[in-house]
Amino acid sequence: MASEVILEVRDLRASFFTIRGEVKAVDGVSFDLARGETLCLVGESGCGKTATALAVLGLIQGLGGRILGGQARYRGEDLLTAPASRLRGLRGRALAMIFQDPQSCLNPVLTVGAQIMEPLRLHLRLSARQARARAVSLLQQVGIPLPERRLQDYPHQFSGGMKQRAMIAAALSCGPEVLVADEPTTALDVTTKAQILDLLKRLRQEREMSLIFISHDLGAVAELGGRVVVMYGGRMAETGDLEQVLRRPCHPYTVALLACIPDLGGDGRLKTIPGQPPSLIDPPQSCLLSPRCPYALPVCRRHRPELAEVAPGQQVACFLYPQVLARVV
Amino acid sequence: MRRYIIKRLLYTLLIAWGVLTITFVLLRLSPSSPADKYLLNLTARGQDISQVIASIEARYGLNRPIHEQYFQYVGSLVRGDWGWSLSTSMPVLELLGRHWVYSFQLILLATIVAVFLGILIGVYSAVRQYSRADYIATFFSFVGIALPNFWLGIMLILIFSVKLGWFKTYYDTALPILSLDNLKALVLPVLTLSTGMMAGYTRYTRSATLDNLRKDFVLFARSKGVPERTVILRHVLRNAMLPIVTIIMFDLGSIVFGGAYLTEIIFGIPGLGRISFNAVFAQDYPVVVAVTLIGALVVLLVNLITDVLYTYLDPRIRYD
Repeated sequence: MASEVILEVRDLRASFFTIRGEVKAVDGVSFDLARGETLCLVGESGCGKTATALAVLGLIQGLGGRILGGQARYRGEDLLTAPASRLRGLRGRALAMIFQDPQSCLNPVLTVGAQIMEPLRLHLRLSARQARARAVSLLQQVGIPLPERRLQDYPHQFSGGMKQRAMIAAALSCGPEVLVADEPTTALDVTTKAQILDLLKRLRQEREMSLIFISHDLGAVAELGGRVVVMYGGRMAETGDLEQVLRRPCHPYTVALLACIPDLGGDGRLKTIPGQPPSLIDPPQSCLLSPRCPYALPVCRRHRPELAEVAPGQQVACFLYPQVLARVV
Repeated sequence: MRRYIIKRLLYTLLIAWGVLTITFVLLRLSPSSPADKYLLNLTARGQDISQVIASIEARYGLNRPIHEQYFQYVGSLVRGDWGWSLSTSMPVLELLGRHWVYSFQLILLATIVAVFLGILIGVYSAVRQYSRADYIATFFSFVGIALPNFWLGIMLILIFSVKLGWFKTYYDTALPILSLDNLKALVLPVLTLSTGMMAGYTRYTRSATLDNLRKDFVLFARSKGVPERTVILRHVLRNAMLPIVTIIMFDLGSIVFGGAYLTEIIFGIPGLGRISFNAVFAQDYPVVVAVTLIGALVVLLVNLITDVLYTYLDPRIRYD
């Protein structure tokens, strides 16, 4: 991965402030994203993967969140301290995002065409006619038949898979360098899911676009490849290349996640990780997995493990590894 | 769509006919007769009462059976003859023609003020939720909803007309309708009528805007780099309009009968409310029936317009 780094996230910390207290949704997340690279953020619901992406794009504030520290540099420019207008100019143009539920992400009272043309008119200042022509070609690229006619349709006239395709078309309209895909296949059926994953893979290759793929579905992650960040309780548990993380998982949480994948040859029972995900309100200064971890040591309940390299390119935050333990003792 | 509208118009006629029939019958079931009013005057002059009653009842057909009177009335109504106003001695249609404009201008102006300010304050309140401005708007809208229309009108007259002398205590009918002075004369009545509506629209707009601000499509719009003003106007408000339009149209129907009539009476505006108020006390049957019928027609048409408007506001609504 010697190619240029487009997005550099360092020690990102962001919280939601609720009536019950501060929810530390993102607590010290760091990663690099190179041009054309795929980065998968993996973890169970509420582990902070979506919050990480929203914080980087400056969208977390609109949802009651606040960025507390760290940096997110896009081509050297820190997005976290950039003025709102600058960030708005980058969103949809350089950095785009698609979301989990295409059903609710398209505005029901605007035509699909209007929603695809919106960023084109806004960022590229295209005329209505130019934007329309672009939108037709975008719909074609994402595989929607009869694009001229479908532009005038409203979202409720589209199927779930087609809505996700339309959302991808709108996000990609201005040719962004980074696309964040937040569980884009969760709300779709299995066949459609495979099609959307193929589409994302194809578009990423064609456009040399960087992709941040957020998912709890390790199958989908294996499909896309690239680098993987496993998150737990707002923190990074493990990171490495797809091969490393899937074949030689080091963190007990990654191991447990992999064990949960249904297995055709198994005993027919779905495996789960015992226990509950941790509450992120006032989290303790310990390993957040320790109450659920079968290998937990006394040190896990007193100290917070930091990431340390266990193999070239693979980092783990777990006291089972002497490299990690060495940092506290 | 056209078939739907035609169908609804036919329903409208049917319901209007029902309203007309009920009003007509109810009035004639009352124990006293319009002739009694004449009597009071005539007995004072020492005329022969029974003869006078007979001649009046014969003249207006009041001595005939009720169903005959009814068919005669409906028959002439269909031909465009709305009858004769007994208390004002002119055709009902002419009476309505002279006075409808006073009601119309009051309702129109009050609605415009209430809708415009209500939506503006409501959206601002929602966007700045829990700010000082939001708390102030919330406080005043609750006060506005709680204040009875007639009380507010009297207070406004007391403060602005009697104490401060800024306005006349009475609406001046001598002013030409399209003049600044007339507009000035309408300030207090419009304020009286629009306060409650505006307060309601503020609350409805605020909650509908808040609902939609939390929707995923707002997040997606922001992720496309859409400026916040466009997010609010194009994405949020368009979706919030449906419940707001519902309540505005509902009010438009109800103020025809309620608030506007009271306001007219307080400020002495000679609109349809005042006409029907006077007509009820004078037992001027044709005027009461006509004003009730017009009110019913307005409500029904407003309902139809609302339903058609829905299809423009929300493309998911289709009637075919």
